Amino acid sequence: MLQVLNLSKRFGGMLAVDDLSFTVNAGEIVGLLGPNGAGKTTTIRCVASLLQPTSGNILLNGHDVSDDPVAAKRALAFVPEVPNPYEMLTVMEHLRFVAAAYGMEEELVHAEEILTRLDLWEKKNDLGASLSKGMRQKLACACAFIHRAQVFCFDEPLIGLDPKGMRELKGMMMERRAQGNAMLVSTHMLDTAERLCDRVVILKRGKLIAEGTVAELKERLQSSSDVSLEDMFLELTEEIPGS
Amino acid sequence: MRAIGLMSFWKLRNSLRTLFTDPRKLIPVLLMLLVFAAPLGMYSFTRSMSSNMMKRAASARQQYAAQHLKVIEPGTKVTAVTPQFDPSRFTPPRPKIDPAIFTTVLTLGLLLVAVSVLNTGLGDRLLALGASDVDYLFPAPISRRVILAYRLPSLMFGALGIALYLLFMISMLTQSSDPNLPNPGQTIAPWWVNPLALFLSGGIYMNLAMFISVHVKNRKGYQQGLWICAGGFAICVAALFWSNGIVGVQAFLRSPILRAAFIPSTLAADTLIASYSQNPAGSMLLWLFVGYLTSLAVLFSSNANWYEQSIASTEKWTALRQAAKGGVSGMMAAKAGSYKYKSDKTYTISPFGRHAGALFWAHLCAAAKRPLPNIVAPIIAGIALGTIGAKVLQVATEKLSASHHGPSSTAAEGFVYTMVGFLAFYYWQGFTAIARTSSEASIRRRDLVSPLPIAGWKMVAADLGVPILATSLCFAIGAVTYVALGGPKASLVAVGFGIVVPLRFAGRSVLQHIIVIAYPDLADKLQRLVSMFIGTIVGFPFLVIEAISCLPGLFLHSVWIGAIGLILIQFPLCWLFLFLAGKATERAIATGEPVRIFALFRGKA
Repeated sequence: MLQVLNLSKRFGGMLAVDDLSFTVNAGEIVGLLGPNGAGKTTTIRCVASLLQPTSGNILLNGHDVSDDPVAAKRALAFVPEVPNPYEMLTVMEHLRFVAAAYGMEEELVHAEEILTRLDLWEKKNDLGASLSKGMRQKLACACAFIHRAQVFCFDEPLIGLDPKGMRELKGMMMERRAQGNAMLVSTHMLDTAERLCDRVVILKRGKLIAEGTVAELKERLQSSSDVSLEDMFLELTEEIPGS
Repeated sequence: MRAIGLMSFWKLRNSLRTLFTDPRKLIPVLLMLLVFAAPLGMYSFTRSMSSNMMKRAASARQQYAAQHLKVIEPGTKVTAVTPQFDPSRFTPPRPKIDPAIFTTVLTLGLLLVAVSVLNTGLGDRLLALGASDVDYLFPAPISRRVILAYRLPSLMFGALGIALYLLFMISMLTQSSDPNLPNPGQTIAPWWVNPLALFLSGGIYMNLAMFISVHVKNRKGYQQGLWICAGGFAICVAALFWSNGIVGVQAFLRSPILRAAFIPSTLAADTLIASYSQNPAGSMLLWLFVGYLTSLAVLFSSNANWYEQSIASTEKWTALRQAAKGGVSGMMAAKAGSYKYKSDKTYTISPFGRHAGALFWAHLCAAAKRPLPNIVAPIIAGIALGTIGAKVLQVATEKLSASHHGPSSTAAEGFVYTMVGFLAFYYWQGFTAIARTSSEASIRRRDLVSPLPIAGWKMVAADLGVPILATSLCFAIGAVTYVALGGPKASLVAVGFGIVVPLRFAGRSVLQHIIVIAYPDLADKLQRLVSMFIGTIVGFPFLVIEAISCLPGLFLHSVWIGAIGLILIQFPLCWLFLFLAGKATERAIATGEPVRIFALFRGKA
């Protein structure tokens, strides 16, 4: 579903992502983890074709995002870290616009269900300008779920959500996984990642330093069974003085 | 495309709905429209006046003709004149513009537009969309060409705006005087020819600028190159004008290389000149239209990936737009934050003082880190004020004294004071705006400063200390320069600039601070307008008090006594304003609510 092949991204003299390769298969949630400045957001923005890779390829449903961006993005739903809704569009108009942009107006029949689950139905006629930070996040998620995307990219999707919203969003993610969708989720919430993700990809300074299931990571680090993902993450990303 | 069309329609509809249902948004827009409509109204009024005057002049000419011309054979146009007939009375009353001046000014104006539009293309403004567009449009399966087309209408509005503005300026020029162009023809061009020519010319440059923005990634060097070329061009024009006059500049502008390099400007200028000479302009208009379509085709010819550049521009401009909602101070802070300081330029200054002294020191250090606006500009402005004041008034008083004697020397003195006061008034307005920015910035910092154990009035004094010092520096240097250059009435002007103005400015800045605290929502445009209006009128009663303090000087016919009265009254006024501002600050911090000015005189809120 999503293949990142030897991706590198350079901003001026800084190499933000360095020869990164990983795959997210159908029916799989992959957590993209790493300390601040590791290159998570840059990777996700490259997948969403907001940034142009310096080298390497990204395939979405078999389409290269650089060569055939429109076909590639037809399969993609993207939720940015800090969503900015159109101030002068209502919640419902956002959904109608996104459905029209993906040519899937018939999917609007699910709008009430999605908005109700995310506590937005009562605000369906409110303008984007009047929404709180959490509501904006929920709206971006609702827009991602309104069309039949096969690959989902979430950049810190749980930040700013209330507990109910978090639970609903995680539930919706798991439902989509069961339906065979692929999901790439960047997060700092390691306990959530441990429970939600089938595999994790850990980055440090733009480089992939570990990839696999939590069990595989434990085996690799020769950790005991009660060691959490957080412990392993800190062990993997810890700075060694003088290195 | 349909999705973008729907989105644009909904945005427009909801914006209009919000505008017309929210007076807080509607009133500032109406006021803004009024500001723009005023010059247009003046223009149409003077045009109508001019037209009426022309009619009256024509009528006078007809009467004159009736007296001095007589038809020799009835039914024919064969006429004879009386011996008293004066042909000069038949010349049109409207003055003629020199054709060289008209064509040169027109061509230079269009070239200036071309350079400024190209400069925009080499900057980062054209690719700045909305933050929502980045989040919702860019990741959607919509072609980049379609999103470029979505950006295009605003560019076309830009081109149309340039066209209408230029046409307005040209109409202002040709309203009162006719361009006396060579080779006049007979063709009357339709009204839309000139606006269309200007629009197409501006549109070609706009499309070219967008093409550059999309395709050239590192444009800074090109932009600097354009500035150097434009500067060189301006120097050439100035040198030619200096040596050969307007004819030299006209010959330079007619050079084939220049005409070819800026062909859209050339064609637009030729169209307008042909239109004013009543010659056919169709072929030039056709070429402009072909050029516009070609520029569109070139713009949409490639599917270059411009999202990355657009995101960087959008983030920068979104931050500035957000900051602008919080007033000038917010925008200045955002602009200052957007600069990338080199590591060797960053430096720290050690803390100094305690309580309000430490706060004032912090403001002083912040000002010192931006010496250009805070130190250099006031010094230069002060020198300019003193120099202009001294030199201009020296000449003016000498001429007045030479032409009149006796009581008229008093008139010359009055003239001196009026001119100096007039000059100082403009400086005053500028510094008042700067002090307002400091007051707004203090509201923005309130969360940070309010927990500090500092009395309200000391906090106000610390917040406003820097702009008051900058103003005092400017006027003090103005006074020293004025005295050094031997300006008339030097001692009195020096006392005025060196003591009265800084003291008065300090008091008025503190008074303005109270008004700013009373209307603290900087994002609310209506509240800002009301605040500025009240800030203007609230000072009036104190102006009366100041006038009363000058009365002894008036009765005793002594300007010095008047000046001393004015100085003495400033101290209690400053103390009163500072006391009230301190109370207002404390109350605003304690309640977090806007302060009612009259409640300051009562007990607790």
